[in-house]
Amino acid sequence: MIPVTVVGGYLGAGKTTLINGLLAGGHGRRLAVLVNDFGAINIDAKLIVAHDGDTIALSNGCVCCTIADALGDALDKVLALDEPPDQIVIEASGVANPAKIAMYGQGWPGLSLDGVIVVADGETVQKRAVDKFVGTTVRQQLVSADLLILNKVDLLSDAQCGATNIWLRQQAPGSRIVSSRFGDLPAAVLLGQHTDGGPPLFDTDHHDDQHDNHHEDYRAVPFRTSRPMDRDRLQAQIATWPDSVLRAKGSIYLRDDCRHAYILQLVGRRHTLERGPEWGRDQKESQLILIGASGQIDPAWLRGSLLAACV
Amino acid sequence: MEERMEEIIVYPAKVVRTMEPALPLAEAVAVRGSQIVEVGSLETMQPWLQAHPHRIDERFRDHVIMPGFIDPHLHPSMAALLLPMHFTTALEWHLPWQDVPAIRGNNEFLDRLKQIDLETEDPDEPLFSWGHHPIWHGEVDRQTLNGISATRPVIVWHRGFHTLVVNDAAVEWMGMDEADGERHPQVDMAEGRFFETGLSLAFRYFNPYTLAPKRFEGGLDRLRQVVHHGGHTTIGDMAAGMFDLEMEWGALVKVLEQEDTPFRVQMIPPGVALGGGRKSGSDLVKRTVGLRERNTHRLRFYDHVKLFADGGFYAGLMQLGAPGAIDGSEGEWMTPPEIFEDVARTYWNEGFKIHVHCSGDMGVELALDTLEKLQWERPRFNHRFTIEHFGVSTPEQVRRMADLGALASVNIYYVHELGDAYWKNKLGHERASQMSRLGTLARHNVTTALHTDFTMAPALPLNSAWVAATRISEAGHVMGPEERLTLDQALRAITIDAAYILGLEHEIGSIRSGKTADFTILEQDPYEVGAENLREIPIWGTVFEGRPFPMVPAKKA
Repeated sequence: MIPVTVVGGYLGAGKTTLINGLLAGGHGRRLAVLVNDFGAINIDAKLIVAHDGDTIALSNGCVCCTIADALGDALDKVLALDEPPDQIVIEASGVANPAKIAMYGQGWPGLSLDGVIVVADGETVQKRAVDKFVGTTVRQQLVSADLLILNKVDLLSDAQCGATNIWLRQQAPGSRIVSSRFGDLPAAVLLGQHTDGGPPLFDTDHHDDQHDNHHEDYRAVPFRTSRPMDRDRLQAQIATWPDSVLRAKGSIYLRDDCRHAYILQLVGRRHTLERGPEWGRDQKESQLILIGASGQIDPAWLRGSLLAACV
Repeated sequence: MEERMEEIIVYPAKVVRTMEPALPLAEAVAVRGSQIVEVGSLETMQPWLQAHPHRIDERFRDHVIMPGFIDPHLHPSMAALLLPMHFTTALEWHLPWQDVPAIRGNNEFLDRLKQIDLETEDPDEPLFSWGHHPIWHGEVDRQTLNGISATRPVIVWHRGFHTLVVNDAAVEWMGMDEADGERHPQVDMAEGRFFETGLSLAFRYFNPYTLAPKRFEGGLDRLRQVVHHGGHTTIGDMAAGMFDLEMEWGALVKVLEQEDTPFRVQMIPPGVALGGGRKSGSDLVKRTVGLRERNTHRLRFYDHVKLFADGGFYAGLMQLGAPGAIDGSEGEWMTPPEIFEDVARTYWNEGFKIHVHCSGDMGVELALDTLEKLQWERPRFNHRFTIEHFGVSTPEQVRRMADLGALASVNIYYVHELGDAYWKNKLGHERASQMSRLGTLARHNVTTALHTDFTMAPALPLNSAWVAATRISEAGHVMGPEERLTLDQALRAITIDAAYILGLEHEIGSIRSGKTADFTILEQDPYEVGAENLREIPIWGTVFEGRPFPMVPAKKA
């Protein structure tokens, strides 16, 4: 199953800038990015290796496709590529309800939903939310976010930023909110940690110092134990995690089904725990990486929380 | 170039209803080739007849000649997809090959499916039915449809297109993995139900069958029969290329550009991808203008373009202003308002005639706000900016349309089919009874056409005119009598005023010298039978560009 991340938000919120960043990024992942229109996508010509009508192939292994009017057809085209991508990013149209687009990730053959990211323009989102034409649409988009990006905070004073944060929290209760300037968030936050080989998106050393200067605001917390976990206790613990935990992903060794690994995935406020492959001869153990805001995430507390789920 | 003059053919008639106020009634019309030479009486046209070879053709002596009917907004491709399916609707449909009776009640619905199953000889042919509506037919699910057939795929598609239900055999025929359906939030595999975004999953498996060239062309051939059957000589394809322009164009030319096709199709392409792409202005216009290079005699792109404001009326996705919907449901935008404005400006500044799909009053508001802005920036006269559909609107918006020079092309069938349902479930009586407010448009002298958006409504202009002049709902209520048109206004709206909406009023839409000889030949005079009986008038056939095309018994379904 290829994970699908939906990027929503009203026109001008910064979706395209964020997507441009992902396409140009050195995250080592082969992304297929589905956009409404190439017009706004700004791809460095040196990176383009092939341009075939509605598909652009990049030298870093990413492809960018237009959705035209048929998302299903675009997804099938991506699935039929000789080398299917590691992950699919869908840019929802400015008036789409991203929750609806997310349903393609939940039921399209070969795809699974990673999460819904909604970008809000810090300067205009409150005004848009009461606009006579699009107010309802904008509020609906905010509510459907697993992870909400408060963008263009460089244009806001600290006080404005704080007030907008509080307002967003009221609009989308439970959603995790991160601030950004040009959608310049680390790929690990936007797309999740790369778990099946490839370069890590963060250094997951136990040291507190980060190597990546651009992303000093975020850090990854690895966790590993060979003790089995209790399903209910794990769910109860996850419910206590603070908003600063933005993503988590890994395999879980559950007591009530020793034969299968379980895949835990958390994107903002939403998480799933689904049965994965059989352990077979692999070592049965839980292995997890959590990602959060550096100043706010407490590795020791989170490890304690996870240990409390063990039996 | 010197051309040998064809002889003039004079058609005397019981009456000629010209739809020209300067000469509304005549006794005969003289035609040369594809052109009207004169309308009047045999006496008045003597100078023409003495000067040129001619003959008198008596075949319409007992008939009524009207201008050829025009539906400026329907969708041949949607029809081609749907017409090969079995209609199982709560309201009756008169199709050339079949009169579909109104089906009411769960048992009657299932009986009809069983009957279709029995009548279909090939045991493997999937049974696609369209028209199910729970209000009239109750619920059906996978088990119910297994009862229709254990071996034949049975697919039941909702009247409003947003849900379909399948049986076990259909799931197997589709070849889909049940697990994919079970994961999907808008698919219920136990009930065999696909809705909203789940429909895309179902059509992923259906499309190779339903859009296969042979089936699609068969569907278009049926559309050709339907259009003739309704008495049309001109239609507008008001979103040409809605599935796939190249595939559709190939099929349209193959099926419709034939000597025996008795109508023309004005092709109006969407001005922007429906997702709301933001293409640069000059590319957009270049592409739209470039489409004209492929024009044939009957199929013509020109300087008209279609834009979309809010979601569909049957789907309940129109944008409503205060106080919103009774059930609190929200509408959708098909194009982001800012992109709508950008694209409208691009076409406006290039002199295009813009048609805007508007279902709810907020959709109309967006279109009019935009038009007002464009008029301020770059005033245009005779711009033909047209509000299409016009489901819910306010009286003030109509006045504003008159001020801004906007026109209306209205789906009046909403009142008939949805009047009662939207009264009870969505809008309440006041707004439901004033849907498609034609009377107000007429009082403000806003030029107005009727359309069917076929297959949203039956492609029968006299039926549309009947609803416009009576506003009788399917349950028999008169919905908003003040919004009725007079008989004459209703007939103008399917002839000369519809021609005006398509920008063809100088060529078609009325009977006068110099215009194209397009006629609809009726067995009775609409002005004699009155508004209540309009839809009962039998149609003899049509004359298209001077050639008579009688109704022929249709190929059996």
